[in-house]
Amino acid sequence: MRKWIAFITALLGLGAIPAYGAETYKIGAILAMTGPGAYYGRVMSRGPLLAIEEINAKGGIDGMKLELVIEDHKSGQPKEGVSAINKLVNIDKVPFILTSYSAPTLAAYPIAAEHKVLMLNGGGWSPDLVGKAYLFNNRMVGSYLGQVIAEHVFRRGARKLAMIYRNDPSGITVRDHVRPFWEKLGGTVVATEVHELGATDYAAQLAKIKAARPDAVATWSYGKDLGFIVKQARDIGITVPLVGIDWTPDGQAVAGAAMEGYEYASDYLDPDSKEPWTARFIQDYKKKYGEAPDFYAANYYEGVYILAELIKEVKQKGGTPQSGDQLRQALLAKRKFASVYGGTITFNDDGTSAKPVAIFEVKGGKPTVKTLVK
Amino acid sequence: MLELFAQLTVNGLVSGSLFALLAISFGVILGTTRTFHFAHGIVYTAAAYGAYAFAEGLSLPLWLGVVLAVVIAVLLGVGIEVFVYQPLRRLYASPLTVLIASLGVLIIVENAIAIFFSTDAKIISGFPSRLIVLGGVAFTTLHLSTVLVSWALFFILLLYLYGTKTGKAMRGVATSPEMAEIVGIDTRRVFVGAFAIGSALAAPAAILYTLDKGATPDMGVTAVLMAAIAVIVGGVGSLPGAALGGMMIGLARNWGIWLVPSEWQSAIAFGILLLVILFRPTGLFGVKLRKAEV
Amino acid sequence: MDYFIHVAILIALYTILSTSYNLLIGYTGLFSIAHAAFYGIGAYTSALLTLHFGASVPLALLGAIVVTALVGGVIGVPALRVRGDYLVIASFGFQMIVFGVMLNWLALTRGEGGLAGIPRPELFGIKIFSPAAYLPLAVVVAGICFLVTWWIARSPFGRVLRAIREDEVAAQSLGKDIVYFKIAVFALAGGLAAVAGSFYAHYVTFINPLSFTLDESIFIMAVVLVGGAGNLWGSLVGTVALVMAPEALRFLRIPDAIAAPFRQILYGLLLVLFVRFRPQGLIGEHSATRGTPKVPAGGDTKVEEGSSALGTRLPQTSGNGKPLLTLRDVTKSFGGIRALDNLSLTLEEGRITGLIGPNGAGKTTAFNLITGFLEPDAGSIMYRGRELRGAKPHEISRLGIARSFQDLRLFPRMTVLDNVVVALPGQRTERLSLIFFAAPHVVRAERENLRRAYELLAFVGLAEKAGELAEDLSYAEQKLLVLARLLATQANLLLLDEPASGLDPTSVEAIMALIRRLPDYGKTICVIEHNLDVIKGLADPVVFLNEGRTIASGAPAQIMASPHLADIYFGV
Repeated sequence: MRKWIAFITALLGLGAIPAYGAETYKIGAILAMTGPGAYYGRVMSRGPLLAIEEINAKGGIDGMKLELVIEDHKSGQPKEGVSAINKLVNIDKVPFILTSYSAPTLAAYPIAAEHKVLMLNGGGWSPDLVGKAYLFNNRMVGSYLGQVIAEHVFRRGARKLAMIYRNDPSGITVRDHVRPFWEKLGGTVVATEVHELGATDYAAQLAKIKAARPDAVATWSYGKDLGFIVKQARDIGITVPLVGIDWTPDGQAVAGAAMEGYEYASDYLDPDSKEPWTARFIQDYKKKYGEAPDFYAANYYEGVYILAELIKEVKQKGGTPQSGDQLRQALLAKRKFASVYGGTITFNDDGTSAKPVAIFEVKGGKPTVKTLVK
Repeated sequence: MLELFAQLTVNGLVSGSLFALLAISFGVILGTTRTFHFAHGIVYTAAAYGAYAFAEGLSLPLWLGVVLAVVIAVLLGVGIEVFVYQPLRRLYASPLTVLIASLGVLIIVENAIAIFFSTDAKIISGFPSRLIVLGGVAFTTLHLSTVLVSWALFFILLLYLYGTKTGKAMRGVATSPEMAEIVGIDTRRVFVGAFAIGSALAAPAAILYTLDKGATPDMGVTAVLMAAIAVIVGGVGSLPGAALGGMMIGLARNWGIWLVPSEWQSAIAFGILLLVILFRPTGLFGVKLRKAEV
Repeated sequence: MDYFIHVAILIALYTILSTSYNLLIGYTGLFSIAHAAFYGIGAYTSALLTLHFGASVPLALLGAIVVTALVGGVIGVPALRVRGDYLVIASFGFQMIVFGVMLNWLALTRGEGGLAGIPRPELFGIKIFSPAAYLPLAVVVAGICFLVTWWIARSPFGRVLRAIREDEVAAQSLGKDIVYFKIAVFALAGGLAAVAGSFYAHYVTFINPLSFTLDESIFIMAVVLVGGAGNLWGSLVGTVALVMAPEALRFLRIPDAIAAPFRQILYGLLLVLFVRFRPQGLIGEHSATRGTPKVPAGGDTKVEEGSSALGTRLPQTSGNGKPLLTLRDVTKSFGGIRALDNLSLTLEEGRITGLIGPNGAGKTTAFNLITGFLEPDAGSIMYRGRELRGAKPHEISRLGIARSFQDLRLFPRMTVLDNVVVALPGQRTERLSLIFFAAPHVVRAERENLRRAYELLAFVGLAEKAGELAEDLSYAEQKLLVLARLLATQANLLLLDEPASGLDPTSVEAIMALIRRLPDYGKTICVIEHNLDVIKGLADPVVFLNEGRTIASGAPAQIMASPHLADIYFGV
């Protein structure tokens, strides 16, 4: 009801909407709450909601409670991203937004930059999201992950590599970084196949890959698409190692048993971690939501804690934490933050970050850490 | 090279058989009732989710899940005919009006499924799929079953249409509804029958697909588009044409990878459709495509 | 506040999309579900022109319009071959291919990554950045598009579009070149959608393929159908309703996972309920015009003898014996059946020739051959020394041959007046280019045409019904309207297919009296009729056809006196 009144008063041009209480600090989130990527929206919203619950239970930040306002970009619709940020910036007046997906983020970004709102992306990685003043990523750079996993299979004796990648800037960037890297190691790339976003039939590409007789197949793809690739590769008798840079329960559900032995490099969230914060996060998340968190949940959980740090920093210097610009200054001054993955995360000038990376292997339908890469 | 060709051909036959089954399930409704049953896509989706709910949700044996999914598909398909299309036909609504209503039904049920089951892919795991390798060409027992089931159902349908009295009545209505009325065939009952048969055929197609690739709420839209394309390519009114149209699309999508880069694969079917419309609007095996009539 | 301005801008954007789509689906009845593809082509063209070629925004807009209109025109070609359900699927195919190109032609479109940093427009040296500054521009652009669409819709061009929607064959028989109109309207709708696309690209500054999906096309269709097809105000109302509703949902505490499917369900329900219970939409096509006939300036609805609308009244020309149309040895077979078998027939200028014969004798087939709807297998059809074989129906119509149809083929959901006006020949104002560049001329010509149409309606006695829809007339009135529409073509040769069938004796008398007067105006008539009293009262000579051949001709009394012919006629 209150929202309706707010809506109507605002429609009538009766001016700004009063905040619920002076002590609430609103954070925005633009996530894939609906559509084919609803899985991501779910985990990416659960992470920060848990973090906020924890912070608020301890009395907030100096008595100031956090509140999350979630907007939906319908699994990557740019227009929805613009609608969402217009609402977040103008009505909710948030200084900080957790964002996801490259398209709606890029569509929303000019408005964020204009209003000096700080954005943090922990979801999909894309070269387009690098080098933007008000946009930071706490997701690891994909091309780096690709090199890590490529080196891993090379060490295990593979020389002929086949690649299948998603036809978008991120897939292409990984392809373009890994190919020379692989050739410098001394291997050859015997097949490079591309697939459409959201395809379900990969039989033709995989048949071509199979005919090239590679020692290993690298996939620069994500989510369900990855699941289909792994399953259909096994179904047409590709038996060599399959590796990649992503794994999600969604992809696992699609591939089922075919996913056994799949290896990937990714942000390091060890499900059996002995790190106290990591272990506590995994335990609390399981208790609250009844399933284990993936690293997306962890990234967005971490994002709220990074913000909490920034708010404290700004307050200490006597600034106003409601200013996205001051949050950004604080981030660039501090750079290094505690990471829920254990250790620290360090932000670079171009908006990327460095954090622990690991190689995982899927065993019994679950990822297990194989090696930690510094 | 030969091995790759063989593998692509096998892939094409497998996906083509599934398209063929879909195409005849759609074609039997379009041919008999002249209703462009776009909501057929949602009957297909509902069958997949029905099988999932029974086989995975309630842990019933897979065969029972399949039977119940067929029942759900028939109930939904016939329900749409009786509660949506028939009232519109009584109002002498244009075929396009019926098509819009059909699209509306598709949107409603698809999103109801999304609310109830979420948009995550749903997997049915009960099928004991095993890998078979024959001289370098690999496929699974599920793929083999897909081909066998699709063609078996196609021949059963032909036997029904040409060998039974009700089947002949259905063909009569398909050729000329007025004539069928005159010789005393109850066209309304034949229409319901066509919807029942078409929907029943959509269920195995949906389940075979889901066993391989999982179900999502939006699976029906692509399915009905492919079915419609196969029917138009084959020629409206010809079920063997529809089946061959489906096979052609399956093979073209796989062989086409030689001619066009693989990212254009999904455009191949639409490319074939546009070519057929431009150069052979009657379809490859059909007799007539409704043009502006004098 | 910016947020609400953003919503207002979206409304302006979708107004352009829905009104232009209405031209296709509502006015012309071309059921294409691919408007988002045009929208997207416009957006990408405009964005690429500014990003890669440094074009200014207005120039890019112009480029986008031209490119999209060209694509639209090309897409019109398959639309000529198929109608209805098949056009829907073909347009789906087009939509999917365009989407695929946007997604996969990375070198051009950068795929899903999209195009970022699209420049915003500058006006008088000021960069338009904030939504508040954008809103006036949005309203002006949408307003111009609306006016353009409105002017097209109510122009003679728009009237022909509606005639095509109502009955393509009848429109052809009145001399309308369907090919031109269909391609023109596709190009037009495409060009207008490009304005929306360009506008969107430069407003959001980022585009990717996901904004131009099939769902978007379906949304635009829902807007038009809910608002009211064939009424631009309906599209405006539909746009406001359907754009606002989901934005309002953001303010309700509906869990997000349910909100979007819930919204889709709402669209679906709207579609189903509207086609079932309110097929005309919120504001129907004729909700405003019904019952308010436009009386032309000068208001005189009496027919004057020798009036221009009927053609000049000539001094007794009837029966001068000159042949106007000659069929020689015309043969036409359908499958194995010979509908016409070496038919020879001559229609003399200024006379009413009656064509009689049993069912299946080939009478209507002869009409179809003369008017170009069917092509003869052999033989020749000469009209004023010109061979008609191979000419298209609209070309033959323009030579001065007009026909009526047994099943009337009026334009049922157009007004009585429009049914007649659309048939008037030589309306250069139906040309798209002229509607805009010679507006005063259009208005003048239109006034004159309305006057002539009124005279014709007065001639057949339907002047008072001018504002009603043709479908609301009684059967007898519809037959009179058929005659008025036929006369409006100004044709010299009128082919009447059963003008008096199904009428009561009083109406038969009335229509006979009208037809009898026509030779006075220089008309030559051929009439097919089963009612022999009508033939006796009208025709001389009478030609008797059987099994596709002329078996007798002569004065009516003479033909009807033959017991042999009577046996054939009554199938004894």
